[in-house]
Amino acid sequence: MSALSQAEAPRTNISGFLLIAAGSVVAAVLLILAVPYYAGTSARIASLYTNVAGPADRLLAADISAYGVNRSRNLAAAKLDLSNEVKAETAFDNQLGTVTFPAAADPHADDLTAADAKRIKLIELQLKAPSLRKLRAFDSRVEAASAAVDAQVKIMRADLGLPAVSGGLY
Amino acid sequence: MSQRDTIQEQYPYPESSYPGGPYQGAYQEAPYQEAPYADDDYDEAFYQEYGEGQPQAKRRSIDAWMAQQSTNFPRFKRRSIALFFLRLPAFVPWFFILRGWLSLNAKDVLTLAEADVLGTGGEATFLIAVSITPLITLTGARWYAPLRRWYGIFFALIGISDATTAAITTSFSGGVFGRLAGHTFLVTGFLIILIAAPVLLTANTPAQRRLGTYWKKIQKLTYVIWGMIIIHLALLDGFHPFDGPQGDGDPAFHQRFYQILVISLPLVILRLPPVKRWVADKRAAGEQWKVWLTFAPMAALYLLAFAFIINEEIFTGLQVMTLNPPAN
Repeated sequence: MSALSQAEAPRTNISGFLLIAAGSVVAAVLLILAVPYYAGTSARIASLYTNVAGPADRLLAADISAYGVNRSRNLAAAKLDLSNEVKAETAFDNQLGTVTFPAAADPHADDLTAADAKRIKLIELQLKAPSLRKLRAFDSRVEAASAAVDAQVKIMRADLGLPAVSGGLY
Repeated sequence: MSQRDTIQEQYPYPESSYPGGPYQGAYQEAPYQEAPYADDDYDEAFYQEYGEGQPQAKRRSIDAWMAQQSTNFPRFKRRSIALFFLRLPAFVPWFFILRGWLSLNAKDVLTLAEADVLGTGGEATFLIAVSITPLITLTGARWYAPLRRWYGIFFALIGISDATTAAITTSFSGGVFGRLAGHTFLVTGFLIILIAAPVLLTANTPAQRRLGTYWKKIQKLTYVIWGMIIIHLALLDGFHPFDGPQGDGDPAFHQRFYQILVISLPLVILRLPPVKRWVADKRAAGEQWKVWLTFAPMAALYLLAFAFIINEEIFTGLQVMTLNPPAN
């Protein structure tokens, strides 16, 4: 009995070591995989940004183009284009708020949202215009607001390593 | 503080042939013994446990040092002071949620974020409770064993407060029952609370005395709770990393199902008898460094996952405190 216990004792200890070693090998593999995963964080954040900006840009490009046509001949259609523009910009701002940017980019995201909010407010004022002439009178102010948004977008995209865009897009 | 440590928590804890001993329940410090105030003769019990000549110098020095009166506060033992501070984090989830409660769900802050704060807080306290036994196995030090019961009790209390708040404030349809059990992940969460109730009610020395051998069986429900929490998080977060236009670019690190799996891995392994024997053998042979070396990757992964749980708790907790809840 004693000899059996002595023979079994080392084997039991080895099984204990093997169990803990197996767990540690799994943990080590996961930690090794975590390093390149973590290194890809900035690319994933850039991807989050483009996932938000892409659909908003497509809607905005269509609305801006349609407004360019309607602004001189159809007040109702022009107002509908501007209203759609406001919706797309508001949706972009809301979705941008759900992304947690790195410390360097985070204040720039806030600046971008603030610039966009000013443009939205201006377009909402423009929507109250009673005539095409008065509607077009806002265009220069909206363009100036868009230029401010463009400047913030440029900074934001530079932070995220993305190519620049223009024309009021994100 | 010191009275509870002295009377209710038997200390040091009777030990079997290897550290940690047989499973004693997540909330339990030791099988009930008639000697009610083991803490009073701590030094004697301590040196009975570790006879002269055993290579337990480091372990002995830590526990013995903790058992001494504090230099700065001589009325208290060092262990009591350390335990006092180590117990405080259990209040953090309630600290974060308090403004939401007091403001009566202003800005829908409880509707949108209470489950994140109290759910994550409950998960964290549970994981701390079930981490104590493996930590004793690993280090041999036993002075922090009372934290097991403390965090176990707080897990149950935070869980009950979570369920109560959710039953009143969340936006799931179906009334109170729908808010508590209207989805599969809610059902598992509700079952966790139901199972935790008897464990909570018996997590005290009088119940331990009255229930005798049944007490341990009730406390073993902790393992059922553990499994249910894993299922709850799997149903909540799924098996894949989060997707969609949100987050901070590290969705896999924030996946709560992944977090609890990698945290549970070392906690389960260190409960296996062969592992406990191997650890005890190495410590007895003065080769504790081999244990640490072998265990290091699991410890690193455990800490990494826990860091993200704490991050989640602080992030969502601050959203509630500032009444600035997430959009959804």
